[in-house]
Amino acid sequence: MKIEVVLITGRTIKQGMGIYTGKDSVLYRQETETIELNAAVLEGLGVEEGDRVLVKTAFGQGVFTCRKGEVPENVAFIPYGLAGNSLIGAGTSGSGMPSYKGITAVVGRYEDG
Amino acid sequence: MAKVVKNVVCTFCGSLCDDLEIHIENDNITAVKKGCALSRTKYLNAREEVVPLVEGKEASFSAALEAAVEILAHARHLLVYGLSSTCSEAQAAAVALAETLGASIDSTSSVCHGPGTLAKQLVGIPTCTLGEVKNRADVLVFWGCNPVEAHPRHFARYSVLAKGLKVGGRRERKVVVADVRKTATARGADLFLQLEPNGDFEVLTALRALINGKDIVGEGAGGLTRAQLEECSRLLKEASYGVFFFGMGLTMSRGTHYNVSQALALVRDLNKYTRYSVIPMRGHGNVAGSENVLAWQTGYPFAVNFSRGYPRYNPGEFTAVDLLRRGDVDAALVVAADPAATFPGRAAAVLGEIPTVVIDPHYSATAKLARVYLPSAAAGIGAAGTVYRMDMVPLPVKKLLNLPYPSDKEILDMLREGVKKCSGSREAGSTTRKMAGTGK
Amino acid sequence: MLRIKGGRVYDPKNGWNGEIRDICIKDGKIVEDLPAAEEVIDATGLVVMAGGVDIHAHIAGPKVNTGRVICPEDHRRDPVPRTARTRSGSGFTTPSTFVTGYRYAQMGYTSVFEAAMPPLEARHVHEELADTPILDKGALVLVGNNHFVLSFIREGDRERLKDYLLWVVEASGAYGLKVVNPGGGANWRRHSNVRGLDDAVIDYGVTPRQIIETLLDVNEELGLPHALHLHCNNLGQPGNLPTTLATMDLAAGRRLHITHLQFHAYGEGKKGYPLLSGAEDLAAVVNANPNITIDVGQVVFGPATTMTADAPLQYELFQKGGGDRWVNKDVELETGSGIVPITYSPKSFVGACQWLIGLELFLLIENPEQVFLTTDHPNAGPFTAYPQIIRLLMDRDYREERIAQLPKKAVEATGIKNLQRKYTLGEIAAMTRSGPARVLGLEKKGHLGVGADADVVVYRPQADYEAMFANPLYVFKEGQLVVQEGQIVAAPRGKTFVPEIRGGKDVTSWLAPQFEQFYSIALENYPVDREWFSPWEVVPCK
Repeated sequence: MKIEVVLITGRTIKQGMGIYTGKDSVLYRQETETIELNAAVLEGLGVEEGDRVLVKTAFGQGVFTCRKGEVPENVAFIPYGLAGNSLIGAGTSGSGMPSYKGITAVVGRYEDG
Repeated sequence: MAKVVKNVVCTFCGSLCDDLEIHIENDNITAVKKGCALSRTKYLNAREEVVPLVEGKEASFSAALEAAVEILAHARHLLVYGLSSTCSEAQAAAVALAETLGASIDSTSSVCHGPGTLAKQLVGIPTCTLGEVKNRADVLVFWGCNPVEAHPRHFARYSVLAKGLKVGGRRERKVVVADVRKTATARGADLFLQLEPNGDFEVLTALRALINGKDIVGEGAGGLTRAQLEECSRLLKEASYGVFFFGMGLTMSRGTHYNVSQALALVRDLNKYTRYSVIPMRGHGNVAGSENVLAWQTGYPFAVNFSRGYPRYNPGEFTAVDLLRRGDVDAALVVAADPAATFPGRAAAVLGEIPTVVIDPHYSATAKLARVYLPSAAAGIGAAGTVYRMDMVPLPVKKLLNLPYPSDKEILDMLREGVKKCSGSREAGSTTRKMAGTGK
Repeated sequence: MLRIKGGRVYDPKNGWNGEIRDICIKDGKIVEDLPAAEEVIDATGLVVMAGGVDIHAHIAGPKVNTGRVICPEDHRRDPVPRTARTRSGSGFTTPSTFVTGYRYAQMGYTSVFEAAMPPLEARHVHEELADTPILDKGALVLVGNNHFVLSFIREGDRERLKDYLLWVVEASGAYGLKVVNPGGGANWRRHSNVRGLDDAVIDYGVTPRQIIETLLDVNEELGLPHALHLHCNNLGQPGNLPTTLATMDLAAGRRLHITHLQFHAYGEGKKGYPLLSGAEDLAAVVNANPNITIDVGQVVFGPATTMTADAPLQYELFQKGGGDRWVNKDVELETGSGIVPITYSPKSFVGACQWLIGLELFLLIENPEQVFLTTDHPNAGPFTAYPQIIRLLMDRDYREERIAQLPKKAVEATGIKNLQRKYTLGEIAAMTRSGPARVLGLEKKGHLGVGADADVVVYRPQADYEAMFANPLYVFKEGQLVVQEGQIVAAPRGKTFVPEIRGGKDVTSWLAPQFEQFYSIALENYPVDREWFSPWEVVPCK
């Protein structure tokens, strides 16, 4: 089971604190290797909070831990960080700014590969 | 010996709260009063045991400095990047170094509020200082930003909860939040507009039409119904002084600077009916200062290249992600920022492939990739200087601790002296001067 | 030590109108004489003047910098490469700080006053001034729409007003008091403006007349070295002449400097003429009142970046179709600003009229120590146009040639045809040196008498005065050669002028709670340490 979502990356308070506890710290890594999905999506994927999922975009892929979030069913949220960046393209359409928000991603159970 | 330093400016985010009380014992920060979770974490982790590194191995500071000079002086096209978590004095030193080396220089603006600056170049910006928000704003819009998590004291000090000259607290202010997610900021809103991802431009355009008395085609836009759009435009126009804050939700979504220019134009249009201002919710401590310093020294706010001996500006060409992605630079100097942790993976990886020098108080993700790591005394902790808030209000930062390394500014000045002595340094640019035209 | 030998010296303050003299320099100052053996520059046949003094320009600070940011196209066509001695940068209407310093020095100017500093953002102004090389500078602090100033005027609390003003001058590192569209800025917070001296200032219960009257008095009582520096109400409005005349009447013997008078010199239009020149009426008042001085704000055809603390004006300008970009900034409790990039066209009636009215003011005001050369840089045009304006004033043939190219109607709307006057070199020296220095209270600037700062400019006399004043042979700043044959040869850091602060009670006891409630920064973080604008020089009070 795989679902297509629109991926948004962004700031969270734990991610912000993690910048100063260090990017190797448990706080930072746990927070930035998390994906927030709608409860219905988790159910559809057959996963629960704390389970791992594989997230793929046109630019890369990564494994993230699930968290229930107040996001629409077609949206996934990942806190800014090293893990999320691997999913983001380096093109900027001439603006200097990559698309950190609003790109297409496919989420599936990690075990399914 | 214990002491308490009052009215300390917190340089974590662009709010630059300047009322922190920092408790210091034996040259260590032991407590942070009045700060948020972010500032407490920052100041309580201020003293990190770090050492200079060359090729990942511990080196003396002077040996690391020499290795850095070697890299910079022999680069054919250097990228100087970062500058957001340091003071304007260091930013000026970085511009001088970039000029000496004919480098490109770019700040974290380009992956933050740079698109907002591009939008200013299209439509201008009606704006105000945060005290005006506190004193007057009876309608507050938070668009694509989440201050509850990114600027935790913003509500209390400046906006939603603040009591000022004309407006006294939450009950006298209407709050509109527009976001794709129902964020912590959205939870307390009087009106929450849940946008479709990448729907910002469409919604802002529809709102502009309604504000200006024109109708919209169809039954809604960008995930919102016509009724929601009409309610929003009514609420916006009822303000006696409205303030619109925007964040990365606009700058990082598809359309980047076009999204922002539409937001700026909306706020501009609202001034036909009442007073409105718009403030970019800048993230990093002194990223606003980097725009200021670059602009007064070169004319341009970021994405500047000195290879011809004079500053040239071209976002998309001289912006850091583009320079790295295209392989245009053969060395990098990163100051007070952590692009390895913030750039798209492919651009970040290049920093590990080319010789990179990092100046940072912390052993950052970029420092791990770097050929040379120079630890520094952080501005506002180990060094004094000037920083600029998200509304461009300047503030002085103090030296709180005696840290073992020089400040960012001092290190940058040493590097400039070093490369000037080095034979690899460029000849001075042309001496021809063009007198300004006389307007004939 | 240096002797500039045998030049024709123009120094109105010392009564030297082209007489052949030696100028001797020691330790950065002008001295009576030097031993014969010291270094000599032969200035035989050359013209010698003191360094120029610009009383009003927008060169540094938040609004200038925002002007730079929003207009990359302004810089793109005017790149300035670095040299072995100078930093790179860019022009044109809003040059980068380094280029601002170099270009002023290259015209023989050595002192410039930043005309509009918001106190809350003073630190930014000083940061930029510190990066503006060669020049000595000062900044005028905006007080005419300040919450505390208006409140004390309403309450009639003159003593607290004075204490507060002294504190603000000191805290912001200002040189003098600047008033911009008094009351209009305050009303702009409420989507309004003022249209005359007796309009109500909403929320404060005062009028522009009261604000100006009180501040004229207070400026005298504090003995600040500079006259009250006033940007009148109704800038740029056709028919603003009566407001300006009434404002001049308020001075009543007190020192008043009215800035960019050209923008305030418009009579009501009539059929076929959107406006008429009011220059004659205004010049008559200036001629009859030696306490009043003005600078012109001469329009220069071409691009300009208008920027002013007169924020409501800028919104009106933008609404009338003035360009594609509008910037506004409201600064809490204090002031505001607006920016609109525009172009002055010699083909437009209004643009031509403005250009002509400026020239009329220069030519009608008899005493050149009452009328100063400015372009309200970069509002009416860039300061780099000063040499061209000097040529317009000195060379009647050139002036008439230029006038002939303008729309006939515009020429008819002014009295320019009747003006035959040609400025002399002595009058140019008065208008650009001794006059502004006198009104600023700078004893050591604007002249070459013993004890003056050795800011000395040596020009080659040329028939083309524009070429002459654009390219001095030598410029010395406090005795150091900074420009030679148009090239910068040294770029020392100039000083910042601050006034002597006499008296004034501590204000922090009542100000601290006000800060807590209404400002967004702590009182402790507000004042700018003098270290931020080191070195500084204290100028004595009157």
